[in-house]
Amino acid sequence: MDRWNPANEKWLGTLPTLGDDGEGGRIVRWALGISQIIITPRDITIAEPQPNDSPWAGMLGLTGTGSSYDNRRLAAIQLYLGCLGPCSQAEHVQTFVHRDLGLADTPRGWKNQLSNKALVNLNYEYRRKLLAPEAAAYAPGRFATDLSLGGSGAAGNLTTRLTGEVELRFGWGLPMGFTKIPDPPGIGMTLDPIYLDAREPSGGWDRWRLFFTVVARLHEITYLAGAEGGPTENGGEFPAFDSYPGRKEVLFGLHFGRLPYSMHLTYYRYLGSALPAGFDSTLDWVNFSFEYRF
Amino acid sequence: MNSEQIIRRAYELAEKVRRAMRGRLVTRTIGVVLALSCGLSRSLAAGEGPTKPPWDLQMVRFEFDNDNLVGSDPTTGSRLAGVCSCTLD
Repeated sequence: MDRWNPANEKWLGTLPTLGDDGEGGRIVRWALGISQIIITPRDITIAEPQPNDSPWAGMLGLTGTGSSYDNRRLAAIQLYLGCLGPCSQAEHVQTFVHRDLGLADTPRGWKNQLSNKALVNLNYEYRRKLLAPEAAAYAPGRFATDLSLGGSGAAGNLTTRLTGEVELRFGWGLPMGFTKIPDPPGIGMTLDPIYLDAREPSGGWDRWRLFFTVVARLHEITYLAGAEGGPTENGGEFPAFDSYPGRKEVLFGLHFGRLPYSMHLTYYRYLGSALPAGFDSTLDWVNFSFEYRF
Repeated sequence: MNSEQIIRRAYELAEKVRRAMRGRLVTRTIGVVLALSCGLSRSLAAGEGPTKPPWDLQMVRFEFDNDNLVGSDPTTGSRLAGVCSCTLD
C-alpha cells in the first residue's frame, strides 16, 4: 500500500497531490462503495403527492475512490455512478423493512417518487494538518489532539458543490490520519482515513482506542439531486426547492475500537437556515458505522 | 454459550423490547447495536483477530443513518452503505 501499482501510477499517480512519493512516502489506497439513499416526506402514510414537503426519492450508486495520504496530508479523487428513481429499489427496501418486517408505518406514496435518472459525479478532496503532535503521542493510552484544514469539490448531477472544513480530533490512542466523515458516497468521499506507518509502527493496535472529533463545514451548493424536483412516476412534476439545505454544519463524532473492529457514531448538526423557506425544523441526523479489518 | 447463541439471545431481547415499545426506532437501533456488541465481545474474548500487520489490512465498513433518531423533521431519510477499503498492490 506504499506505492500505486504500475497500472494506476500512470494515471492516478500523475494527478497533482495524488502521488505516492516512492518508497517510504505516503500510502495509497483504493476504496469501493455501494450506497442507497431513501428520502420521503415526513408523513409516509399519505398516498397523495405532497409538494410542500420532501419528495419521494431513492438513489442507488457505486463509488470508486483513490486516496494518497500520510499523517500530514490527504488527497482523494472519486467517481460516483448511480441512478435516481425506481431503479434504486428504495421503494422495495423501505416497504420490506416497514411493512413486511412490521417495523414501522407502511409507506403509501411511492407512486409519487421522482422518475429514473442516471447520476454521475466526480469528487476531489484535500486535507492538511495544521497542528499535530509527535508520532509517539498517537500511541494507545496516550491523549493526543490534532487539527486539520480541508477542502473539497464535487461536480455532477448528484451534487455540485465546494466545501471548506476545520477538523479537530482528540482522545486516547488517537490514530494517525484524519476523521472518518460518513457523508453519503458521491456527496462526500468514501475512504479510510486512518494512517498506519509501516516504517514506524506505533504498535498496540490490539488495545482499545477512544477518541472524539468535531468537524465544522461550510458548503456552497449549486446542484443537489432530490432538491431539484422533476418528473414523478405518477405523471406529475415535483417542484424544486427554493434553496439548498444544509450549508453550514458541525459533525460531532465518537469513535472507538481495537483491531480488527471499530465503531463510529456521528451526529450531523446543521446550523442556521438549513432548510428552505417554509420549513421550521432541522435536518439533523446520526450515522452509525461499523468497521472490520482483515 | 457460543457467539451464535449470544447473538440470538440479543435479538430475542431486542424483539421483546420492540414489542413492548412498538414504533420506537431508537429501541430497535439499540437492539441491533446490542446484538453487534455481543458478537464483538465474544470475538474479542476469544482472541480472534487478523494475522497480517495492521498496515496490510483491508477494511470493510457498514454504515447506517437515519434522521428519525434525533426527531428531525419535516424530511425523513435513511441510508445504507457498504464500503471496502483495499490496497492496490
